[in-house]
Amino acid sequence: MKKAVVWFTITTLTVFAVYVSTKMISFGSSYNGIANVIVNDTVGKTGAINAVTAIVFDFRGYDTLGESFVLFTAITAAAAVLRKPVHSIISKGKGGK
Amino acid sequence: MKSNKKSYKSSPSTNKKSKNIKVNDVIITSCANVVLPIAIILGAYVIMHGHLSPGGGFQGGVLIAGAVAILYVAYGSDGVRKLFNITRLKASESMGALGFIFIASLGLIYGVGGYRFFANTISKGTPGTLFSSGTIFWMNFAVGYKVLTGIGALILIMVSSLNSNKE
Repeated sequence: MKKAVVWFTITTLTVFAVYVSTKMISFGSSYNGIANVIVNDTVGKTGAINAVTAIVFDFRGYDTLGESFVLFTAITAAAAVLRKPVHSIISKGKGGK
Repeated sequence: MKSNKKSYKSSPSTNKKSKNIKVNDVIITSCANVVLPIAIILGAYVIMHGHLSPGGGFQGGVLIAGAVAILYVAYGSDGVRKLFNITRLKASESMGALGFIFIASLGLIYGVGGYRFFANTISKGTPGTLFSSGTIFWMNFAVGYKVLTGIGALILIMVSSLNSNKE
């Protein structure tokens, strides 16, 4: 039963993926998507001269949010793995000016 | 590898000379005194001009956080611990992240043509001046603050793990 469900899901997904790949825009065709908007209207839409910053902080803000969460998680993991030195810093650093 | 570890273990908290690492060496200290202000000012410049010139919050934050590493090379782990408090650094990092989310959620309150998260709602000004590009400028600040405190805390943790064995 479990195996049948798994195979059914995989087959359906494969058929769907193949179907979608036939409907996709062919490589190299002129498609007026987000790329044209970014290239032509960056200054008008955001007011930033640096297009990379405009993309990172405006067009793809969720990407930056996830990146900062990755950094936060990495630092938390480092503090958890190196538990002993962190405790020594906290107990020592409280009195420091 | 083993010998390295031993030298770190005996590296001084009383500013004595050990085998490999010299703390408060004159040449390194005076070089660091020259380089430190330049590194911090360059990082602040990169953060502030993120929407005008190459760079941005992440890069400028890492530049400023490099000051912690320079301080360790010059003054040893005691000099670093005197200046930086790790609980305060972690609180500042959380503040930066919350500020970023707050600026992003301004778009939900002051919507321009639809209420969207990450909408650029503050007035954009004239392109090319410092206070242009609306929320991008302030998001640069928030992310830069978050990254500089976060990477600073990370370097501080790693530095203090070098000679924590003797405690």
